[in-house]
Amino acid sequence: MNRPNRSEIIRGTVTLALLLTVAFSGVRAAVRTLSEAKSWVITVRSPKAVDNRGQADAAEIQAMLEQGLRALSGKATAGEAWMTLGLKPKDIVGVKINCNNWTINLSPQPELVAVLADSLSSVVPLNNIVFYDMHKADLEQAGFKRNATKNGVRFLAAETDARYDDREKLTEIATSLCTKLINFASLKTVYEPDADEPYEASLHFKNQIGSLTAEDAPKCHDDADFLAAILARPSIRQKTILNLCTGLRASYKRGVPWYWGGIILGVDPLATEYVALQVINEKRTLEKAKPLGLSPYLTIAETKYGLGSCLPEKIEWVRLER
Amino acid sequence: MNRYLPMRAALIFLIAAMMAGRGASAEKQRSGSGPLPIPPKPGRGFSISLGPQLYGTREQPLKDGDIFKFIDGGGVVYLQYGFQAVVHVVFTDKNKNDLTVDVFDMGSDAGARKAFADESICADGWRMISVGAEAKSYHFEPDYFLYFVKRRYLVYCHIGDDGMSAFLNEYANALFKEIL
Repeated sequence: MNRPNRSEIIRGTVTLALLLTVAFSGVRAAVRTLSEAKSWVITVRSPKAVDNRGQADAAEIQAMLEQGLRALSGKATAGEAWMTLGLKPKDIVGVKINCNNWTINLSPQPELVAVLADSLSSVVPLNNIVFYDMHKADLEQAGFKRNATKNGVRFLAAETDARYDDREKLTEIATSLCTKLINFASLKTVYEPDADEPYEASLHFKNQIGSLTAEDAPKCHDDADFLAAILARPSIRQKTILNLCTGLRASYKRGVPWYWGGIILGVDPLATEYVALQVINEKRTLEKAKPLGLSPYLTIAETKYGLGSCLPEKIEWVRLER
Repeated sequence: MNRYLPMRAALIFLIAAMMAGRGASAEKQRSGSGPLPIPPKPGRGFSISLGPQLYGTREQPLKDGDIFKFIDGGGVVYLQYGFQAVVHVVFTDKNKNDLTVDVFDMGSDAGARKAFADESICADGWRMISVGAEAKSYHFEPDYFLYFVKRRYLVYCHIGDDGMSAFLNEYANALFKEIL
């Protein structure tokens, strides 16, 4: 066998170095959201996403979602990003949305829901995508027609389209039907009598109240531990691959909206909730309102249930502006 | 003719009368001062698309449940002022415009007035208008809505297209003068 000459050695060394660089950057990108010390949260905003009358631009929202997914996963396409987050072609993915329209409509925009379904369909069949909320009337008022057929994206009401799991006290949409979950909240401020300022954000924890039984749902209003523990229930904890929050239209006081024009994405529910809270607080500061504090359930969720972190030093907040 | 038929008919009538009586007494027990006023159709082609839904307290839920089912945790502040019940109706026209009316029975005139004054219910940023009484109106494009009080009732009216704000004001005026 001939020994390699000097130029071949140099060429080989350069090639090896390039391969290692690509490999390590790929690994870093792939795992940064999942195992680094910091939790990554991405916010993507665009002045074109929604106008001041609430008309959403589907093409712009699609670009925002893809950009957010790429930034979160380090992958080149939305399909690869979903796979990195854990989605597999045979999964049935349940998306818990919050369609409470009282007093102003802060339900997820149908354009964003359609874009999300389209993006997920790069991995799973459309009929394996299940958007759900607790009440059928709320879904319909938000513009989502119930679909429990074997064609197209499904829209289900937990209260009437499924039973409740006896062990977890959750809708069977989350415990049995779906193999993966997305916690899709709306950026909303609500009245909360126990908070220092009588307001707090209603985000990913409160969104999942809609997965509870009708008897258990009211317990969340005066029991911070009960609320914190919802995301620690096995099906929600093990199946949730993404926490997504729409702030295309949001509220910074109860019943007072503004068009923030952005979305928030993160794997860590606490970090994502923390960033969403800061988005609300930036607006509250502009409006000379006292910033919202961290609610007790967040501390409990971190210290007792180990669901993530809402410590700013453990959060990498990536702000993308279009 | 079957000789048992009159007896069977009488029995069915008796059972139906008992069931109707039970429903009526439940309603009487709820309010203590008559049934909740059901908002009428606003005209201009609007018809009921949802409701009337009736929600009560946790201790005394009505046909559609309690206030927490209606407005989640936001219901707490209404209870602080004596909330008894709410009737919720959504009207929709052929252009898919929704007009929503909620009539909250706050249990007393004072409770209704306190709820009207509380920023947790009627947020700041309102403009005072008259719909027979003073009303707090809000314009957050494309939404337009208002609150007013008459006796023990706190009334909320909303329309999703602010181009129809004058129409909503007229409807609120009619509610104030003729209905409540």
